[in-house]
Amino acid sequence: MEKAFTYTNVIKTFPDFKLGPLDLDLEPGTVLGFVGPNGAGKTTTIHCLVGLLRADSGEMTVFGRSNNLNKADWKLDIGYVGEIHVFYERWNGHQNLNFLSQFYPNWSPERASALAKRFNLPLDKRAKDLSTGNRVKLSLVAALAHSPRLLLLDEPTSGIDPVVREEVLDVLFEVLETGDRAIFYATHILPEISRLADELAFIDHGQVWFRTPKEDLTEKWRKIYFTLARDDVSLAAIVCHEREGDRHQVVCSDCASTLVQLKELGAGNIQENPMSIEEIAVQILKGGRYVEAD
Amino acid sequence: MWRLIKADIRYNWPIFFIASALTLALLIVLGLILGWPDQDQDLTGTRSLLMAIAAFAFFVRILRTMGEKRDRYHTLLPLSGTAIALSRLVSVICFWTACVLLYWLITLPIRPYPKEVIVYEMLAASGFVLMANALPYIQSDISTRLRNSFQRALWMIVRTTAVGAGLVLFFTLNVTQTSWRILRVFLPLKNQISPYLGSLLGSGLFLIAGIVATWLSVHVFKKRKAFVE
Repeated sequence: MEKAFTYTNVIKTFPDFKLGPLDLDLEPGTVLGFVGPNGAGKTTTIHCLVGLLRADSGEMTVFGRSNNLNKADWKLDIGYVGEIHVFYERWNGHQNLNFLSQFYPNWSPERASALAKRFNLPLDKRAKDLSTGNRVKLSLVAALAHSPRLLLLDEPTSGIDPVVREEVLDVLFEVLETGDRAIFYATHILPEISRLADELAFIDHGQVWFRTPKEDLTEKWRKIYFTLARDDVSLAAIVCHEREGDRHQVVCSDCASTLVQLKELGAGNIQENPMSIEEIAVQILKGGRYVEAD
Repeated sequence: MWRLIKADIRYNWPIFFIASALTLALLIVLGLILGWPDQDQDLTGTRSLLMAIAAFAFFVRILRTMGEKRDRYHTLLPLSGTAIALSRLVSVICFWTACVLLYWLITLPIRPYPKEVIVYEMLAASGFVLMANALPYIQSDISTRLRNSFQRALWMIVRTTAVGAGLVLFFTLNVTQTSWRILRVFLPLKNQISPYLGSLLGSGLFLIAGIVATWLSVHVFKKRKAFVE
């Protein structure tokens, strides 16, 4: 099956930042959360794919078609919502949506109206008079009304209040239920992506450090407390290790193998605690100190 | 591409309408107050005024849409780079053509020029308008490949050159034996170019220059490194 998108050896260099070499892909029907701190390269990654930035080298495809900036067909499959929401500012929501509808054969006015109603979006207001939350909603309606096979969301809820954020996420859940749609969701707000994502990819300093199914993270990652008097404690799959006397606290990326080793070393009072996605993400992004389990 | 042009005209029609109305009103009032001057003088004066108003409308349009990140918006649409780049110029040309045609239609009964002169004038003026509108786009598109300090320098050079060239052209086209002495330095230049401007050769050259500038603006747009503005 064709991938929703692929990045192959993509590099984009700025005077003070370098993205890549980046290799990334996404299967149709999958939600990939793209997690990283501000300035990690999330937006640059998406901008290269949608054509807002020209990569220095490498190749990108959308459903098997190269994202050639001088061709148009590959863009039909994309719905994009970025941090900046651009419209014809003196036109109202209806006029902006009508304008967009001309370019997408799959555009459904009914779907656009239903989404606008679902969002309680005032389509008769001029774009420049819309609040930040309503601009996000209008962008989402515009991105979803042509039923794109690939949805690219770049911090779509940044700058909006928690109530609107919940509404947006609810609609995204509904979208997911009604189609075999691939979603690439870049964010630094973990709770929102931990609800939606099937997989998570962690990016920092322009490099994807780690990608894994979400379940693997919550099943395998643990914070383990134990006591051990030895000085030469060397454990595999350990991300973080703190010690105070003979009391140890470790964060491990493969709980089962760590527990086996601890038992072999004779550790006592072993206590394993599950970790939230946010805690795990913080550990992964703390200097990219992820250690692959043997 | 036509969908973008239609949208652009629909979006900017108040500006286009006001600019057109002002142009026509100004030309007609001048004609009524001063009387229609001799053939050459009227042609050159008309041309300059129309050029000025086209440039005015263009810059007002740019000012009102630059803040709206139009290139970013259009780049995300399923359109080729060529279509987006061309649409930026064609809507201005549509406005310009409508404006000039209207003017000629209104004043035709009282100014019976030979048809070929009108056609040559239109061709030359269209070439000029194409050039004048393509150059700022070329400059801004090239700027995306330059550092900030170079961008500012390029913008200063282009702006100064454009204003300078515009003034020289304006005075050259409008200078007469009765103009202020200082302006009469442009008379030799006017005498040199006048035969060409009213001919197929001169207007053709202007038009070709305009088409080259248009092609260049499309090419530079397609080579842009960023559309994030």
